[in-house]
Amino acid sequence: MIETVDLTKKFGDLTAVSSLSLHVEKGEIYGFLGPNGAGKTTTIMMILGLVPPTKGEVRLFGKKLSEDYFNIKRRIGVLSEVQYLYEEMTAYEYLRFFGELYRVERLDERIRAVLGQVNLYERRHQILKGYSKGMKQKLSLARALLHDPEILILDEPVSSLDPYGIKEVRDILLEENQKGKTIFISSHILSEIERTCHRVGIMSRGRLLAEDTMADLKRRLADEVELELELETVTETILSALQSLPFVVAVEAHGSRLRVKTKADQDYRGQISSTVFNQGGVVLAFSRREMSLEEAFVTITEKNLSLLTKEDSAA
Amino acid sequence: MSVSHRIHAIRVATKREIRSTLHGIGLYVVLSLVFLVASYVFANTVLRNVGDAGILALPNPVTLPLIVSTGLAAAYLGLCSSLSISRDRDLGTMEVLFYGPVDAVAYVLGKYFHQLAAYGVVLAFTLVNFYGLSVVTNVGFSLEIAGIMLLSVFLTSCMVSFGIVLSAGSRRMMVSVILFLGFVLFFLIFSLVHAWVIGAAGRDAASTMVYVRMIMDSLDQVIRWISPVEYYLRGMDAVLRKDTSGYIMSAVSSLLYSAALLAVSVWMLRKKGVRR
Repeated sequence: MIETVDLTKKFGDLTAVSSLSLHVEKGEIYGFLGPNGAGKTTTIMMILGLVPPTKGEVRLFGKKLSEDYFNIKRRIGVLSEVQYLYEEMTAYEYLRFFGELYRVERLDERIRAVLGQVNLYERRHQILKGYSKGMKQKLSLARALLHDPEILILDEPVSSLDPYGIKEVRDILLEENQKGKTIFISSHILSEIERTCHRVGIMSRGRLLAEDTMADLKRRLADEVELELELETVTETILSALQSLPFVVAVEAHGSRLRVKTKADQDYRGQISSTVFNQGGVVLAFSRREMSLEEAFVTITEKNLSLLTKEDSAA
Repeated sequence: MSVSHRIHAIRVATKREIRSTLHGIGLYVVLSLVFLVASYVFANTVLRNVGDAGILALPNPVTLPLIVSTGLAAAYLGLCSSLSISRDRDLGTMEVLFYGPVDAVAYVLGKYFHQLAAYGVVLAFTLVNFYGLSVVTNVGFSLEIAGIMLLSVFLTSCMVSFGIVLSAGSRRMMVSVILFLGFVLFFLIFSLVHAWVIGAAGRDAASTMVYVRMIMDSLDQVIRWISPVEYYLRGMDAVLRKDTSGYIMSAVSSLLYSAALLAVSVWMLRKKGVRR
């Protein structure tokens, strides 16, 4: 649905995006992450045809934008980071204008539906100047959904929302994805990306550092795995037996709980539980602590930043 | 296929803009001003002539007030045009439009037709006003008045295109407004100074004024193609001389001028981008 090939954008000497090749499949929710200045917004602008690339190309629905500009644009819904609205209009008038622009059929019905989705229907006749930041963001989301697009491109969709609003938007996005929409989200709120996205791409300094499914990304990044066990009783023999295992990196005991760090090359849970069992222990609970996306993000960007810094100084 | 999409985008954008203009106060202020200025000029020429001499000695008594009022309205719409694109870019609303099925051509033409539609309102008001004036004063509603009214549409087209091209090239509203006012003032001052120099050089052919006149004549040759007012003046001249082919030429050259400026605006918009 969205494909970039060797996409590069230079502003003078500054390379904002460097040889970016990414591919977003139909029906996928793709999270686009990166620190400030990583080149995320420039990439989105190039995808939308608002910033011309220095090199490379963008394909949407398998076509270049120039091949079928108007039809492609009608199949995309976009929510930008900052909400630019016609503030003298009411929410109803605003959506009516965009609905006419996108040639939405049964427009009144659609306006009612999308305003209902974002809980703004009661405020439809209020002038937008009086809307809060969060309300403006939700109205912009309603605008992006109005023409029932096949692709949603969202830049920081929950940045101005309170926790209730964030949940509301998350539910809307998951619901729209269930209906078959492909969603491309750029966000700093990593917990939201983690809860919503199937796949993520991590950018830094204009380069795509990693791209994978959430689970595989975390697995690839982890050098060690942390396991938590709750035993009936923790004995010295159990502790020393675990410590003697070649793949165990560290063992910590906190009352009846054990925290065991193992190498991440394979799953050692079976061997851990049989070792405990062989030493007369009883396992009451066993869990594997997952790496959060935030930890993965920091690991990837830090690792790659030091690499990039080395490359820069070598150059 | 893209032509129909483009026409649709132009139509929807123009509709929104004209609705916004009709809900605003600016157009009504200008209409009131046009009415007052036209009435003042009419009273100061026709009625004063009648009062002083007891007879009406002017061949076309309504022409001057009509030229002043349509010129005023066209200048106002030119000023609005000089704000239009830079304001949208400044406010970020242009970017949101371009997320959807709107391209640079549709956007620029939407702005152009919006101002022309606003001029349609002005023209309807002017027509009623001057027709009423002609009937009440019994000076007659001539074909010449209709000719000037039609010509004012081409003047407005030139003014609006001129404003749009300045707006497309500016990132800030203030810059485009200053540029527009600056250029219009320059054209007016140049034309006054040029007229004075022609007179002065005529009186003293041996002085350095002849060289000044030559320089100003050369500049005038350039300005007459750049200034939107020049196209109107040429048409006006044709109306007064009852020169039909000159009138048609003026209308066609006004349209060509507008088309060229709108094409430059599209190019500038593409070059500058739509982002703030």
